[in-house]
Amino acid sequence: MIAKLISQSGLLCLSLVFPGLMYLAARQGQLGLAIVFLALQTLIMGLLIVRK
Amino acid sequence: MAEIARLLLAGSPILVVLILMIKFQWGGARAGAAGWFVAMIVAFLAFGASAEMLVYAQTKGALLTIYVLYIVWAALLLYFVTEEAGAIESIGNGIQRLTQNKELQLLIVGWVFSSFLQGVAGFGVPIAVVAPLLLGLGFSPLVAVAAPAIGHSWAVTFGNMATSYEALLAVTGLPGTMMTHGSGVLLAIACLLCGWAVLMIYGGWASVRRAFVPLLVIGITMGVTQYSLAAVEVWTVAGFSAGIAGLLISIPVARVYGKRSAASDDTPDFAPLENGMTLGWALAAYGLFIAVISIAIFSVPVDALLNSVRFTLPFPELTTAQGRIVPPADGKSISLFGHPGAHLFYTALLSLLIYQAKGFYRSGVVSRIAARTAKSGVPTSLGMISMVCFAVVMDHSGMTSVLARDIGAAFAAIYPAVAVAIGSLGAFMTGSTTNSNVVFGVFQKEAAEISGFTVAGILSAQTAGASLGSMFAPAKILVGCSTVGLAGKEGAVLSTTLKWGAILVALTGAYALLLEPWL
Repeated sequence: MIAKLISQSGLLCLSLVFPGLMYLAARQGQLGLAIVFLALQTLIMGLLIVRK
Repeated sequence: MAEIARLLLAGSPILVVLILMIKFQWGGARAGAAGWFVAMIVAFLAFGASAEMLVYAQTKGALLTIYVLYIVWAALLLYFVTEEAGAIESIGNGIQRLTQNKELQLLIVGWVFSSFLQGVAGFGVPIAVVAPLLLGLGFSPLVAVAAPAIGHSWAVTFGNMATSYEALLAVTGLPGTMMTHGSGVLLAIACLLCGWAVLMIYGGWASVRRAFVPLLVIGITMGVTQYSLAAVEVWTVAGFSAGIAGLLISIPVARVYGKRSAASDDTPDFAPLENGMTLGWALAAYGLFIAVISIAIFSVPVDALLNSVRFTLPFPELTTAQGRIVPPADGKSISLFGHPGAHLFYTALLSLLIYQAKGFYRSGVVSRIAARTAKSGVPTSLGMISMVCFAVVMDHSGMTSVLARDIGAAFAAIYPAVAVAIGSLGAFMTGSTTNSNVVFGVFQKEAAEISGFTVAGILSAQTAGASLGSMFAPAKILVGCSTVGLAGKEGAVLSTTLKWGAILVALTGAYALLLEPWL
């Protein structure tokens, strides 16, 4: 369901934005927040697999 | 036993991607995401990668992906700008006019023209530009993508202003003159082999027999030109000049040997297209491309101006639980206006304006070009980000080193041949000869010193292998497939380039082993 809601362009944008957010969080010493963004990136990769 | 398990774990992301793409025909984006998952899990659980390392690896990977995507999207834009104007169709007709022989068409476009494009652009541009041209000439989509993928690969080390070679020099700290002879010799032979393989994927030995003399004449011309220029220390233009020499020698060769082949039944088309597009105007876009690159690179004030705005990110030192240290370094630096993608973008914009002024377009062309570029670019980009990120994870966690070290140890007696295979493995994983040289350069230098082979010979083998490995790098195959309507069906093309890549890597390894004392 979620996979259908987000277009491929949306997935591409998010997959490039989340690493940037991870970097910003990690550089400010907020590793926990960086890991949250990493989890969201994991979700994006999961969506790529379930989309056909 | 534990060593074998560790080796299998280190190679598991690559195996997963290969199996999913070739056996199950998954597209690059899906298979890359699956490989990403495997790499993340194995790096964390088996190789001691910390959460911090995984986080920074994603950012490094994203930065590297943006660097490559800049070129991919601009190349796609240039392609659709020319295609909508009828330039691609016109060039196809022009090559048919030069020769109606299908083998020569394939050699000139798939091997020589793609090598020339590698000399001026690289980063997947040869495949992205040539694949649609071959499709327009009537070749199957599989041949249209596989031929330039194989055909341009020998030219990667010294192509694109020799960035891959410069990267190898940078990481090893060795003088450039040390490897010009070795890599020049290996790549000159590889040039002939690539031409041979391009003919083989089209019509097998029958095609090779029909085009044997042109293959030899053009191949020797390109290989010797590249070797000579590298040997006299102007390696930055060695690949570019080899491509030019190849194009120039192709004209008389086509006139002498360009008889109709048995397989050809096409009628040559001498007339301009309905919209008035002639061969001269069709080639103008590529002439413009060469002019833009020449001005941007060889004019010192322009080069300085364009490269005045750069973007990169600093990364801290990272360590794994097993003690592997990744030193602090800046990520991939992106020059906003001086990037190869920017050169392509300027060319696309100027071509659009010129073709628009000449009236070659139908109405609504801008939105049509934008839509077609996005449609091809998005799936390709998704595949690229997952694959590049998992390659960075593998590198940082030590998985890549384990693969290289264990394979090297197992085949110590034939290490020059293994060095070629390792170089190609790096290019396959990262989609980049430059990255392969960066990742494996120091390792290969150390391995050469330990194994008793010459450093120059082993590093020449490394960069030759990395060059050839670009033919089966999924990231590049994705680019080519996106321009001929094969997006999501990359498996068939990958299995072809993988098969021929393995043959060429094995042959190159064999003669690297034989010639090593003289390299």
